[in-house]
Amino acid sequence: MERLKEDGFRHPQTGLAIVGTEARELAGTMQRSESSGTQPEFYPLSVVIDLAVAGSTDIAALMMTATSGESAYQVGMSFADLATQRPDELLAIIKRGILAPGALTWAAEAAGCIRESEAAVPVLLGLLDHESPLVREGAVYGLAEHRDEKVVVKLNWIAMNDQDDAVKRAARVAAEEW
Amino acid sequence: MKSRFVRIRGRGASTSTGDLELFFQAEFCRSGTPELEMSVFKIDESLQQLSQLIAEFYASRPDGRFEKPRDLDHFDVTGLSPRETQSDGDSLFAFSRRAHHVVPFHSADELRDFAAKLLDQANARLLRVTPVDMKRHVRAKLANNDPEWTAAIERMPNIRTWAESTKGEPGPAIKKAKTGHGGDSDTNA
Repeated sequence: MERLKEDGFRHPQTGLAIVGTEARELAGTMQRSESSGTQPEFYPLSVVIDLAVAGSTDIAALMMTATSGESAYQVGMSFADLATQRPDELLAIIKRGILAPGALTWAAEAAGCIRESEAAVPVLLGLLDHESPLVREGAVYGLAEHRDEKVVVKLNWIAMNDQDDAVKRAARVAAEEW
Repeated sequence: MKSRFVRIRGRGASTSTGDLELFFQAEFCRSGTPELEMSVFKIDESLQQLSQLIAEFYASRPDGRFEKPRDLDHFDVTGLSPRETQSDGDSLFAFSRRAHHVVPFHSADELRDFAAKLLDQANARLLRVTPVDMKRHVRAKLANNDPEWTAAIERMPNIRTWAESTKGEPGPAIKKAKTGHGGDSDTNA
C-alpha cells in the first residue's frame, strides 16, 4: 500500500486515504491476516465496499461480521469520503441495494455531499419509495443538500404524505427555504 | 436544577418500527461495528440548555459546514447508561465541550442491552426541541454579540441566514379588530 506523509496509507483498490487510528488498525489487521494466512476478522469499510462493488460478496452480511469491537471506522465518515472523492462508487453502492437499512440511511445522507446533483438526485429520489422509514429519512437529508424546484416539490409531498411521522418532520424542515 | 444525560439522536425513524436491530444499527453502530465509546451530554433540565446544546451540535460539524438543524426528539438517557466520564468533545463551543461525556461500554452485548432498555422506554424519554427553539437561542446570542457564535458565522455565514429566517415559525397572533360595521372580524396581521 502507498504510504502517505501523515502516518497513513492509501487503500490500494479504492484510493481512499486512511490515516490516524484507522491506518494503525488497518495495518494491524492486514499484518495479522498475512501472518496467519487467514482472512482478517475485521473488514475495513473501504474493502467491504470494494468487494461489494465488484459483486463478489454481500456487503450487508460482511458488515454484520465486523463486530470485533476493535474498529473505529465510521460509516458516515467513510461514505462522506466516497461522496467527495469517488461519488460514482457511492451511488453505485446505493443503487445495488445491498446495504442494510441501518447503513443505507447514512449512505443516502452522505450522497448529499456529492457535487453533481444531476447524478445524485435521481438515486436519492428513488430511495423515497424504500420500505424502510430509516432509508427514506436518510434520503430526505441527502436531498436537502440538492434543493431545486423539483426536489422541493417532492419534499413537500413527503412532508404531507409519508406514512412515518419522523420522515414527514425531516421533509418539512428540508423543504423550507433558509 | 437537576441534571440529565442527553444522547443526540441520528434518525427520527430509528424507533418507528420498534425493531431493536434497526435501532441498534442506526443509532449505535458505524460500519456495522458497535460504537463502544458513546457520546452523551450532561446538561440541566431546561429547554434553554437543550436548545443550546443541539444548536451548537449542528454548528460544529467536522466538515466545517453548517447543517440546518433537524426536527428530532433526542433521548434522556439518565440512569440508563452504566457509567459516564467527562471528556472534552470536539465542539466549537465551550458549553458543549464541558457537557460532553463518554460512556465506555465493556462489550457490544452491554451496549445492546443499553439500546434495548432505551428502545423499551423511548417514548417516555424523548426530549422535544424544535428548530424554532434553536433559532431563538442563536438569535439571542447574536443580539449579544456572543464571540463563539460570531466566530462561527464568520466561518459559516449561512448560520445567520437560518437563524434570521422565520420559516416554520408561528405567524403573528390573530388580532380582533373593529370593522366599522358593528362586528368583529379576524385579521391575520
